[in-house]
Amino acid sequence: MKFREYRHPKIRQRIRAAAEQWRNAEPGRSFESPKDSSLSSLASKFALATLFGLHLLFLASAEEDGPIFLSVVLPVVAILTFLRIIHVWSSQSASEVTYLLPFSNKTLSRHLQAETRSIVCLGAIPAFLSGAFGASPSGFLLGGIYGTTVYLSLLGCLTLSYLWKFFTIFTYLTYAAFILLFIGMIVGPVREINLIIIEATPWFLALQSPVILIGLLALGSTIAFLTKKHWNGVSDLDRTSYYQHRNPGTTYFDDREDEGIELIEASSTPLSRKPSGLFEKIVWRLLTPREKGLLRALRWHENCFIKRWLGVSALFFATCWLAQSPWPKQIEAFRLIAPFLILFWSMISKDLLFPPSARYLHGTAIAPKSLAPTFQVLPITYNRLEKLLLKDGILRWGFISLTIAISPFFHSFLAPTYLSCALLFFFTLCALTHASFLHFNHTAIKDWVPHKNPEQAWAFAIKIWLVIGVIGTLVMGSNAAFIIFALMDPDDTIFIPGSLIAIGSFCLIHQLIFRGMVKSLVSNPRADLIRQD
Amino acid sequence: MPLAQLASAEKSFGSNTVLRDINLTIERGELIAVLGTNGAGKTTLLRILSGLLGLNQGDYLIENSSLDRLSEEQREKIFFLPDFPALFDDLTVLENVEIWLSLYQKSAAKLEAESVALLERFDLIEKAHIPAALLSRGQRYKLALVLFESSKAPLGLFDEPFASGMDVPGIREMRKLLRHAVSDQRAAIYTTQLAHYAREFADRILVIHKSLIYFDGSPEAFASQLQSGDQVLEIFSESDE
Repeated sequence: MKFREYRHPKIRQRIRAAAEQWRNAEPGRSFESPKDSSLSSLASKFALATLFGLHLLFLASAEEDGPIFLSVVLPVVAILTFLRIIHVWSSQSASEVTYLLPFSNKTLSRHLQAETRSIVCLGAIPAFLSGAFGASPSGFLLGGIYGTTVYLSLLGCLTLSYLWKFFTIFTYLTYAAFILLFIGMIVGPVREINLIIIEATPWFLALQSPVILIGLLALGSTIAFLTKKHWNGVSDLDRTSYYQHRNPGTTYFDDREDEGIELIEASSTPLSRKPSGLFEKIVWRLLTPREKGLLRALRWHENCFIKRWLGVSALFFATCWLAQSPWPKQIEAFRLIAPFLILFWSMISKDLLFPPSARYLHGTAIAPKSLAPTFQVLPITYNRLEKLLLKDGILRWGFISLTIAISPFFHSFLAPTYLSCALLFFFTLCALTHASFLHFNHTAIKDWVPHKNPEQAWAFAIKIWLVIGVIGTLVMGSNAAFIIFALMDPDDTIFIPGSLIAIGSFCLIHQLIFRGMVKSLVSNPRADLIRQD
Repeated sequence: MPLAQLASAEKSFGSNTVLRDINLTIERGELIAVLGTNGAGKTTLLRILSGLLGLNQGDYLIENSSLDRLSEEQREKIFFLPDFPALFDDLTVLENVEIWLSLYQKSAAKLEAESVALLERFDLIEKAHIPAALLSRGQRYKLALVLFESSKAPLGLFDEPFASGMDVPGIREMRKLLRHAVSDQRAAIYTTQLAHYAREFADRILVIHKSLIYFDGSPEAFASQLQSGDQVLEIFSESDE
């Protein structure tokens, strides 16, 4: 189905001619092209995955009691936050935020909200850990403060760098800082600072397990490789807006022909490329040609979803496998919970829980209003969308449920009946929620085709969804409590307050998610779309 | 078998009857100009023919079957180009072509060369990788014309193409394209307020006046009736006198 347009000789010829004409018109002029973020994104994902692995490793290597979370969680959450910022900045915000920051409060606000969510999500992990261990929750607090400070500082620097047009220089400086921080964390002054703050650190213990380290590095690079396509996504619009803002009267591929074509290929890849892997092909085969076109129009990154899910699954199983080795008693709980933490984290921070199509539909990704006229004139019907999105939901949650269902084979030591059944239930619930969401949210699409009472349908959908959200929160919370208490030694009372904190964070996050979704539903001005015919 | 047929059609918005007693048969291979003053109901007629608006009374048949607005098969036979073309703004020109072809169930691979040639004809090839949002209004219209030709929809409905912001070469190409479409046994209907366009670029002219089809005939018949001093058609006379 894919055009070979990027290689089409006529297009290449025209681009070449345009570039030549541009160069001849203004000889000697050159301007920087938007940074292609594939390498930087790859690096940040690689580093992120590696650091998270190291985080696990440090925990695994700890042999003594002590303020382990202050020594580990604080720097890790700071670095994760830092990396997350770099990652978003390099992969998605490079042009958009830099371009729009001084001009569009709406876009800035959206980015800030997204970043705040990311920081909160990242912070939730150490909160969960701290809670599960009964250790000081101040680790989360400090990590959050530290991460927020870093984030705001970066944002400020980003604005300044934009205003001063030192964008590229600043990029390299940031990466240099990151590399120094990374090195310093292991051998340099940062470790010393940690040593000053905390009496004992387990950093060097990590190096005692080079095999595991190499394995984690390999895993990190695999994850990075698997996900790099998705995170390559500076959109054409971003690039072009950025270019046109910086270089009025030009387009981004007017620059240099080869670079232009490379940029075109890079930026167009996620949407229109053919499925390449086995799983992608299977999924793709389940869709009709019209559905494929529609999904592309909805920017449903089906390929990225599969790859990302495979990556998450790999990490999940790898962690399960690692957890089978004898661990110190101190971190017994962690090794049991770690796989699910990773899973949970992956779901929250990525698009697994909220696929682009769903976000599109409840209006947080693309404004449906802007697309409604287009859909009106196309041969697409409500029934088609309904079937398509339900299929989408079933596929997504089907994959997740499948992974969970087979997980006991990978962590048989984990009382599989307890955890797997509970988690399977959880994911089933999520699937139901998802399907309900899609179904009821679809009612709004009826604005695009005749519908008698869209307001009523909408209100009903919100009510149903709220009920499902509350039930889901309660079930998830009780499940988490059940799982944690079942795994803990009843005599070891230190885990109890921690478990409560863990449950609290779990429920809070879940509820926040639902509230956010409902809020977006309520504020969605779909009534504007209603046509009186 | 007529491609499309309206029988005793009536359309009202509240108490305002915009079209009434519309009887219209559209055959394959016809190029029809719909002429009317502002608010005469030209766009409403196109929106009815596109299936976007339902009828208050009467029937609308596509190839002798009542139009089911939830039938994708029937809607595939219709291509509607509003005065401001509806595109996927955040997708590039080529992505729009590709997706349009998918949604009209055409093979993008088979039509690649033709689509690229069309883009070249409409001077859009350099914009192939530009998001549609960044196109000018005229360029959007050109892209929509490319989509019409690529989709091979049998019935093309075009709202005010001569006031679409297209440049002269674009209008020239559009005329060629529509002529080619009707020679390919498809049909094209466009609206305009300018009689001379209708007279020189249509096989058939419809004049809508006061919610009714006042005139339905060939350009020659239109000219003849105009010369005979028809008071209604005189509205469309572009003479300063």
